[in-house]
Amino acid sequence: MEKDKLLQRLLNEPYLLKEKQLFDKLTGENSVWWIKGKDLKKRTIFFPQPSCPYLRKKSCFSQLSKLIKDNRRLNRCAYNFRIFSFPIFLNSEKTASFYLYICHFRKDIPLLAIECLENSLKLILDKIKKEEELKEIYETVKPRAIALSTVHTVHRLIASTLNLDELLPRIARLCLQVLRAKKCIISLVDPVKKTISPKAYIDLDNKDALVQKISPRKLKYERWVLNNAKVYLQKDILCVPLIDQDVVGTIRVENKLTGDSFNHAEREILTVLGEQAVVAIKNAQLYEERGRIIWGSIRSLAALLDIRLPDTYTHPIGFVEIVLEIGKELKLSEEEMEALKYAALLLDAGKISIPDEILMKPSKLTGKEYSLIKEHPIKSAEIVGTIEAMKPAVPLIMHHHERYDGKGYPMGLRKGEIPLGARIISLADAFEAMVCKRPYRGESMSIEEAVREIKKSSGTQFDPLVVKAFLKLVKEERIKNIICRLQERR
Amino acid sequence: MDKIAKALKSPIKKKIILFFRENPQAVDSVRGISTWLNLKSGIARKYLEELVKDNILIAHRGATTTGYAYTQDEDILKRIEEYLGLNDEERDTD
Repeated sequence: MEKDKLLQRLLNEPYLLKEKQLFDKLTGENSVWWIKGKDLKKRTIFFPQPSCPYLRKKSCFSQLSKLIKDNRRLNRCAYNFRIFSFPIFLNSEKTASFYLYICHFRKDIPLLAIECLENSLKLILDKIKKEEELKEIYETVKPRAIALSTVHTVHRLIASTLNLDELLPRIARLCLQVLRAKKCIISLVDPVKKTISPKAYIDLDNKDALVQKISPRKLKYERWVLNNAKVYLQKDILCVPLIDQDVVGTIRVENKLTGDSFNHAEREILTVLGEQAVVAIKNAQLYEERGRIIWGSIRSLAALLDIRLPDTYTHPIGFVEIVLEIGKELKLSEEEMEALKYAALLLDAGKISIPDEILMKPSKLTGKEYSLIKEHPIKSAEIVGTIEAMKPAVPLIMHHHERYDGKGYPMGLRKGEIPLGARIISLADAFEAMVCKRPYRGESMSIEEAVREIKKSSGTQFDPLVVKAFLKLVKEERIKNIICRLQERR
Repeated sequence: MDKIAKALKSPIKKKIILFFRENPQAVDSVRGISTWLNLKSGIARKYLEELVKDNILIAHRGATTTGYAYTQDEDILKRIEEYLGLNDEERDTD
């Protein structure tokens, strides 16, 4: 503990003031307390403000010096006032750093009162020293705790998405934040081609910075890191490898906001961030791979069903695209969008249990035949539900023939009881049926006629929220192109 | 009065700004910041979001948490320093 700090603490210590008040009460005196040290010759600090008229006089100081020299606790000053001195030691020093003088006593002070005061002062001093020690520990530990908390928060932020397109810019932004840098480029190695290419790029000085605009020639630091599997650190450029058994990518940060060079501590910080990032990137890549495998399996199942009777048990990709566009417009989550995608392709797979002559019958169905048709969502759900990854799609398939007013099937659910995905599919399915010609049905409607029908059924057959999203989308050229492709196919 | 000056008039917002000024590399959640600054989490969240709206803080939003961090806008950083310098001068002359 530093001398000045201890002195400051003593002067601001409320217990010391209380101690003075108590001591004055006990002795019936109006004592003067002040602190002086060998190196504090010119800085005599009074506590509280002095009331002794002789205090500033030279003779008074000479008596004090004598008191210190003789190492005595009690003395009389030139004006016959009693003085008591209390040495204050810093840490484990042998000589006192400074003294607390208590003077201006007219009578002798009882020894017992002095001993009591001495003990109290020792306790106050110990308390101050302990508090300062704790403060020092806290001040040392706190920045480390904040850094640890930052690492934890960054980990949570990057582990909360499995979408690589979202993850990489997020990592880049966090690296810029933690390193207080202006530019960050994340590049990944193509495992087949063994080349490195930029995947995320943020430049605070250029808001329009696009990763596509980075020329591979500009990745010289990345190539060096890739070839050497080492960190590159040079003034305002810091590039670390992303290592998962082998180097799978790099993170490069440039130009600190302060204009300083990157240091070794920052090199360690970016290395830690890189270690966290590589785990998140690998997870996202595996998740993407898993999605591709599942989608491939579902497409294979759809292809098998199409061999049996084309476009009867499955829906074309264009239909899936329309369903997904509505889902996107309604801001469905990643998981909900995935379930919607899987459900849209195989929602009619259960029709395989219905005889062809009923499915293709151009005339009105009998009650028994219609009952069979009404069972297909349940059958579809049973077929699809056997695949683990398709489980979230099952409720959407099961209820895609429910109506918003509760008059649909198989369960007659209404409004919010019907999963939102099923409400989306229900509208898209009806729209597709209206605009696409089918062999067992008459002429198809124009897009405008079908849109009018959809509007008419808003709030009865269809969810008004879904209708609103659909009506907004159907005006867009790209959606019209998808519908045209669907019509041509049918 | 601009947003920065207004924010610095609020003792809690000033406390948060000073925390991030002292730890500009920090990215922390409501829980973390309320711990460091001894604030109730509801209050911390309210003021952190207001500071995000004022562009003094950045919110990195994830599915399960939001990480709050100090702005990297050099103009805003410069103005904060100017206001804080001014406040110090005012205090010194008191």
